[in-house]
Amino acid sequence: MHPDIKALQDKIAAESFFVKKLTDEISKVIVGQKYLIERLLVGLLCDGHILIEGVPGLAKTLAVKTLASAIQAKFQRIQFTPDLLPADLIGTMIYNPQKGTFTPKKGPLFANLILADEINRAPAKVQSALLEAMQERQVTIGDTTYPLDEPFLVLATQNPIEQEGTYPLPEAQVDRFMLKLSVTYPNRSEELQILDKNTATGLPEVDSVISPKEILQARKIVQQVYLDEKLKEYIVNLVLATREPDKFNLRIKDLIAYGASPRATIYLSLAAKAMAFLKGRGYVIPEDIKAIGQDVLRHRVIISYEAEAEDLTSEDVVQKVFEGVEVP
Amino acid sequence: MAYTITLTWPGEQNRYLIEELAPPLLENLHLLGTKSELSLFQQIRTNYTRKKYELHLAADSIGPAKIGELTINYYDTKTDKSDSFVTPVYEVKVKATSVAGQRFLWFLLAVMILLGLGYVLRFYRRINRPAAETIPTKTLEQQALQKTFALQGQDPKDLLTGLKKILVEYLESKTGQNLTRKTTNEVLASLEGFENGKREILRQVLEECDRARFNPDLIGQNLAKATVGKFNKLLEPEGKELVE
Repeated sequence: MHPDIKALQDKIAAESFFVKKLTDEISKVIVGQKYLIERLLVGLLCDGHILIEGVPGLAKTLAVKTLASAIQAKFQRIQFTPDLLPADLIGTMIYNPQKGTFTPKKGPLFANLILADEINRAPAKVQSALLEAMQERQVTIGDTTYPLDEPFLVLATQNPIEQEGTYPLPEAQVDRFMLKLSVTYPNRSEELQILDKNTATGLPEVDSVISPKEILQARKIVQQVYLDEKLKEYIVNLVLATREPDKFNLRIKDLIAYGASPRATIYLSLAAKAMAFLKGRGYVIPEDIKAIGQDVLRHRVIISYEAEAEDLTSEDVVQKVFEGVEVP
Repeated sequence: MAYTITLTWPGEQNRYLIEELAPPLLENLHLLGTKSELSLFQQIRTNYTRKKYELHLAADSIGPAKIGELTINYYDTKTDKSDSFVTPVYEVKVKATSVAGQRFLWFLLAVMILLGLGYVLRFYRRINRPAAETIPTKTLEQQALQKTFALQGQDPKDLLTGLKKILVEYLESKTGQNLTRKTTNEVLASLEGFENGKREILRQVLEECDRARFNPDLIGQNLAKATVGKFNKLLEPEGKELVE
């Protein structure tokens, strides 16, 4: 039974009005980086955490901070270092000598938007504490469990340059991130604008455009975006092609050690719906899936040694999958 | 050749104990190997034992040859007596064995000649074949338009689904590109150089087809027909062809 698409379309047209306002507000501070901002909104609307990989100085922290200001959300930045402890994230019990009791002191995880900077610099125990909070949306301090605020979004960053002395996230943990973004340098004209903004006039103030409550409302609308059966099959075909490429006449079997999990199917569907919502559409088209597909799949397809020997990355392999699977 | 000696007697196999055979004297022949076989059978309710000896012989040269007598010593366990019997001497003549091989070679040669003749005849007929009549073929545009006639009467979703398929096949034939793995935007991006507003018409047709296929409730019959009309206009020859 088809949903009332027309009513949904009108609803989305009304609800997604904030998207343009939000991106315009963020653009006051951030020059370019449309790809990053769009994906941050996808993560926000799908309640999915994001892993960002990019060299220092690309405005990753600034983008997240600006987004937090624009949506009236509480923002916390945590710099991950090798000596970090789990209590530094979740909080701990503090002894009050006057009262003779322990009182909980909540850690920086109790915020809406968390920027976990250089997550691969902290040891596994700290990474696990963060990932557990991401999964459970709650934290236990002492005997008491505290739910985390909604919306709760973790944006973890990794520096692709300095890998010495780091603790790489295991594949199973990386899989918990909905998207993995690869942020690149701005182009020439954007670079000039950045120069002007940061040296001449200074960064402007960002006004709040939408509240966290409205974000939660928008999430419900996103889930209602219509995804046709043909597109569901297309998504499943894409994921299956990473596991059994031979069945899709793709000669990449030797390049893939492990294909994408069912989590990829779920996240790809959700992300495609969010992309359609951002475009003001009540239905998904193949463009939406292809536009977000690389970000959902690049960290879920584990390449083999043979692929590494041929200097191929997971992005190259995912690209071959997209080029080989028929679009409905 | 095989020189076979078969011994048959009524009763069980242990009735007679037969001494191991010594090979006979051979002239112009030599022994390749021996083989013996023991079997039991019944005839008219009487059990019989059969022992067969095979001596495999090969000739040394063409000409006369001789197989000497063979003495078989045996002991009858029933009568508790030993005895022997001797096989006769056989004189044989060894002939040349190349006749069969020569016959095969002649056969092979005949087959090759026949095959060669066949290829020559085929080549001759091909070069002398009259030119086939040229049948006027439809253009790609005409073929695509003809296919759309079969879509008439279908509901908007099926109509525009079929229309997009025809359009993509037409564009693939025209440009030689594989477009089935590309989205609408990618198809448009890979088909640069449209003229006379055809690019805009192509974009509208593709997007309206997508809208019908992935969002069925928004396209009515009128809009579907209008899309087909745009498709027809797209294929109209205007002197400007589709360029990659």
